[in-house]
Amino acid sequence: MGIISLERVDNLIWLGRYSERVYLTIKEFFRCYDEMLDHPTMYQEYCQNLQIPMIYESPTDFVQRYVRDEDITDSIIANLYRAYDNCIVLRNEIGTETMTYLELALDDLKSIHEFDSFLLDLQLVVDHILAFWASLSENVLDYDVRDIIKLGQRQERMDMYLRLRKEKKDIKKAYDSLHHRLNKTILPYDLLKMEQLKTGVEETIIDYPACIECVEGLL
Amino acid sequence: MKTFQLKYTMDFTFSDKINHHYFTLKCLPNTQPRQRVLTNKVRINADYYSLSKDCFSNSMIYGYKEGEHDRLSLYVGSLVEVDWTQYDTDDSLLPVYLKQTKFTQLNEEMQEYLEPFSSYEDPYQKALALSKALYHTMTYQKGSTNIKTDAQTAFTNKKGVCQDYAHILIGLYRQSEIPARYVAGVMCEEKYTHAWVEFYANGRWYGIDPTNDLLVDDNYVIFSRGRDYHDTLVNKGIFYGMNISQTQDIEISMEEILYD
Amino acid sequence: MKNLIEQQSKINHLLKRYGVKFGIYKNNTFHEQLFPFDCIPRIITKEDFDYLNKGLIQRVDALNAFLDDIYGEKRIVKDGIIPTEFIYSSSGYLVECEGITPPQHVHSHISGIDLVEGKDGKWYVLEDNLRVPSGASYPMIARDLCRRASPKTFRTNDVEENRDYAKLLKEVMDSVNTGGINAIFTPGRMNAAYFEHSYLAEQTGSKLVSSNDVVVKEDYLYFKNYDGSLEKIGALYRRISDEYLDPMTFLEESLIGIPHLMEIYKKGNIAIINAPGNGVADDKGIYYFVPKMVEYYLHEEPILNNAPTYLPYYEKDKEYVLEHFDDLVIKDVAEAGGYGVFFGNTLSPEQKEAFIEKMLREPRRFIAQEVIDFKDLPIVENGETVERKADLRVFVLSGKETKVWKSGLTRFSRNPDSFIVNSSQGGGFKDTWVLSR
Repeated sequence: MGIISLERVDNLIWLGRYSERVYLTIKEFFRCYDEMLDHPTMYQEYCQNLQIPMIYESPTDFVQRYVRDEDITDSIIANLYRAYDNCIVLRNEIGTETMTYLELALDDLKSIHEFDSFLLDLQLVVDHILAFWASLSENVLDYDVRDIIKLGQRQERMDMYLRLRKEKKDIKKAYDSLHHRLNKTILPYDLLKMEQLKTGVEETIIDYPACIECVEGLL
Repeated sequence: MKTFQLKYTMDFTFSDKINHHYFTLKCLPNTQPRQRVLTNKVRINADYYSLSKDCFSNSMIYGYKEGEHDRLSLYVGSLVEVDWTQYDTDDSLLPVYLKQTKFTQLNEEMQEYLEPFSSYEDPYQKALALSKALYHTMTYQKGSTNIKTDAQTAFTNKKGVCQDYAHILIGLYRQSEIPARYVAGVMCEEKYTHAWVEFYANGRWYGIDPTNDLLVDDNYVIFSRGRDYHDTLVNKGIFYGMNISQTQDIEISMEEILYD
Repeated sequence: MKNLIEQQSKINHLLKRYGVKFGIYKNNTFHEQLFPFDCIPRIITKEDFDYLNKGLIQRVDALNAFLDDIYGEKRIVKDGIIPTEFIYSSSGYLVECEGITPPQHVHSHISGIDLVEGKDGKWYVLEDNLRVPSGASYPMIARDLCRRASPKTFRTNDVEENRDYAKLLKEVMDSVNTGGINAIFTPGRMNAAYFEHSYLAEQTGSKLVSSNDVVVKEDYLYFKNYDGSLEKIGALYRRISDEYLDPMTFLEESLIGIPHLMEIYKKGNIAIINAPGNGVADDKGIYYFVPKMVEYYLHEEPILNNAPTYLPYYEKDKEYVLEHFDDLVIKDVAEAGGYGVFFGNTLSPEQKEAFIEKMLREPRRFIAQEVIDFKDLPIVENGETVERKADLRVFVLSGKETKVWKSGLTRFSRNPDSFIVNSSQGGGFKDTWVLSR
């Protein structure tokens, strides 16, 4: 088993979280974009669902800046940069080969300059993130490293599903896989919060903000 | 030859909790040509400490205290035999002791001060004369300077403490091509650490105390020496903590042991 | 070769994919940029390499003997070969290293020797880099990608392998390791060579560490595992300069150093690669004396040439410099990275007068060298082949024995008129082939 410093553990978790966030938001964005063809103001609802500031002036403005503006905290590219920043210091843990896929995903996104039919280009970003995860599973031999990244991914998924008010069965599934990952690592976590989350997602009417708070404060 | 019982206690108190505290302390006398340490006892409330020597052969205590704390206490008890009839002829770092540091650098006024002494041919005589002159030029005044004061500033004000006297004299010596080093230690029956100077002439080192206009004799015990004050700093510490101020209480007792 | 050149854009694409970058500070903010790569390799014949190999081993062995002597007995000074002031006025001399003997007496484990090939076909040493020479990772990864992009080229040319650099480096670390794991100590992501630090860590199987990841305890250095356990480190390849290494010994305000590292190093409980204090041997003023070191320590004739150098410190040289000022290149020994270097003939009469006055006041601070007419190397620019100035940094590794890596970093200048090939001033790099036949 390899040895990992506390700081790198933090990077692994956040690499998992941000790569998952980018993956899920792009998928959500595809849906939103499709609906916007018929209901141009749909993006406002999208922002509300994701609880990100509605700072966009028009559908076109939303599409361009939400995808590609590095200075907007919640843009897709800003989140991908955060994943990348966490990744770049993990060469020792995950290896150059695996890192190249995230490098490619970032290059794909950076090279989008034209927004008429860019969904296929955006699909490439998704492809490379999936390849990145596949490479992690294939090439990273250290179970600790893999488990910690996956824990980050599962935590993010739980968080996003709650924010997006996903169906109950999906939320329960997200909970189960988070629970499973937590027990695979030796990282300390807030037992009480996990307990609250468990009962929270079982409720008939889920108290979303309370559950989100539990997820955020878990590690 | 004289024998002394030296007790040194130092208490650091921090204004708030600190952690990950690394420290280096130079207050441990060691055996050298003119002093012999018979016993050294060290007590310190840290996770661990160890002994080492710096490049000037000074003994040092270094260690680490990880958990939260707001206090570090040190006690050093030494039995030291001093004999100034012995010679110290170590010439290994003479070029280093000839180079000015930012603490010893001369200004114009100090250059001028040196001029009347250019007639001395014998470095030993010149060194003695310079020390005596400096003693009469300067006024000893506590609090007139601080640990960051350099030779130029102290000389301009003509006021200072032992550290300033030493820096100025070292600067004057080095300018006259006489190797000189800064010495920190304790003087018999004094309650504070003292500083004086050693200069190299006639193939050996002489000790001189410009603050008291004395030649160093069996009443002085050496802690450390170096190029200037900075090399002999008793306490260096690094720790985590926000806006921490620290106070140190030092108690020294140095008593001669008289054998019947 | 033609095929290789045709693949230039593919290779650059691969370099991008592999994140081959270096960091640079522009207007105080940190940027990472690709290190431009030119496909046409520098080719060193077997004959030339055999000559360089012997000369470099000799030179580095002499430099290591010098370092061991300077921080010990100082015989070379006592015997009058090098004047005292050249040692003690050098900013690279660290009194803090006096009396310390590193494991196996190796001070410079990784030496980057900068060479140029003159138009006369002769090689000259321009500079020795014995502190933290960087750059080996770039040709190493470029070779890998070139072989992938143009297998044909490598099927038909007999090129010595250069991807064994990590193996050589690991051998060095293992040979001086005092017990424990190998680690590479980086100042952090915001360092210009962070890519190299992390890449070499991966390739040598060493742990990449920063100051927060390690602790000196009970006279040893440990890596702090996240589960609370400690792992001993026996060899530390530090990519951080001496003054930041240990805040308790050097710069107190250094936040990127390891407190008390020097104490355990003195006790022989860790190998520091390269040893601290090496700057005294790669000082521009000491360069002049390197051939003399070869004679003094090894009792051999120096094989490699220095560029003809004059020290204004010596009366005879001073006269020469004053007479031939316009033909010489002047270097300020206190500056690094291509700064503080100028040609005598570029100064206006007033500047020249002011400079000469300065030189006469501080003769130790300057050296003067004959201008060497470098052999230019071809590069591809906008589809055309043009010639540029280029130098070569060869890496010499010293552990149990001294070995020369059969490759090197060839850097070229961007600007056609520039002689300065430093990557911090915008140049690019090439692969360096050593032919096996």
